[in-house]
Amino acid sequence: MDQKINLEELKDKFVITDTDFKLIRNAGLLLDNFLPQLIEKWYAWLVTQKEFSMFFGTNSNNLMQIKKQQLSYWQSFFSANINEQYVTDRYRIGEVHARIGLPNDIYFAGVSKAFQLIADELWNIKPMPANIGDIANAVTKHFFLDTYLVMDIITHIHNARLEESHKTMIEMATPVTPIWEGILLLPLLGILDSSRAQDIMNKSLSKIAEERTKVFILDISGVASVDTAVANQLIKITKATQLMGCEAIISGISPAIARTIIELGVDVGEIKSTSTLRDAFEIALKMIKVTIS
Amino acid sequence: MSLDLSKNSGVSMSRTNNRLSIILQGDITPEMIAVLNSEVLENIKTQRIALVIFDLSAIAILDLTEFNALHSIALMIKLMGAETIFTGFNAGVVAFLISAGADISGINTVSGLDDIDRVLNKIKDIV
Repeated sequence: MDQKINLEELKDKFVITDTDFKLIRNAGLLLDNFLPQLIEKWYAWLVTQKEFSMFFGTNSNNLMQIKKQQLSYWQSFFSANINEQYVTDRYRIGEVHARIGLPNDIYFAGVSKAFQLIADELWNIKPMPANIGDIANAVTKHFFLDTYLVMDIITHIHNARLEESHKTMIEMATPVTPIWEGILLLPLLGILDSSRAQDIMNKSLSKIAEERTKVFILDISGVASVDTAVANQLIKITKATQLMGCEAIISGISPAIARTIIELGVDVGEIKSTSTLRDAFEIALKMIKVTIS
Repeated sequence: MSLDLSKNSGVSMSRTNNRLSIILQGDITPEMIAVLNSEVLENIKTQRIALVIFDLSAIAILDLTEFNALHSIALMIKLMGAETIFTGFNAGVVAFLISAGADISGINTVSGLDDIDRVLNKIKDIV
């Protein structure tokens, strides 16, 4: 994952000082013998959760492996070495969670359970260290930092996935198709915003140049709503196509859209428009002087 | 085909092939304009109307607001790919509209119904 993070800034943000790291290491020494028990108790809780069978399965070898990894996770936690390797390890955990689609509620519940088990153990150490409050405080801060790093990468992965599917959708939503020699059709569907309009314009213009198109039909029958911004974008697209030496027709103008455009006072100028794609196609054929008997 | 817009509305519409003739009579009210607007646009969509003719010969008084409303309907008709022609403008109404600074851009008019085809040919070869 190419996520870059500034460690010093992160420590400052979570107010974790070198003293805190010493205290966390101190807690690690105090809890060293407890760690295997922590894992057993935590898994005893996890087994009662419905997500256990969904995400951990029933394979005992797998479980053993996961428990081993958990032990090294807690050892790393209490070694309190906040460096690039530590961040990479936490990110790897986040990546696994994102890949298997672990729900946030079970992740946070798991963190909360682990925190509760560790806090209970810390406050019951005999003899109780004089600075137990400071130790618990430092451990808490580290818990927050640790959880944040895992969640940060999960969010990053989700956003990247969303962006990718958005790009795919845009790609699919701009199907510029030649329907006749010299006639290009672009049926628009859904919601038109300025970034999509820009993409539509770029694609249409390159396709017009590539196909040496004479008539460009922009069918808006499937556009959900038209406001001033959308109407202006459509007009911009048709004007741009005209500048390429191509005639443009906007088809699929419904009564509601016609009313909206005129009532908004949008200047449609000399743009040719029709209510149906069929009419637009007929006009386009006339424009390229094709007669069908 | 002949249809009444609504009872006592002062509007009658008739369709011949792809032409829609609308005769306006009496007072032009905002309600009448609203109904006229939606009826005409729906007709263009469903009946593939290519020409809408507004006959105003029975209208003796037309203020700027009413004219602007009709002008807007003509623009909407144009957006839906059809043409509009106005006929029967009363001389007094025209004199008033011009002196009131009405925007007459994009308005096609004929002096009588027999002149429609000549004007249409001038507009474009669609009907």
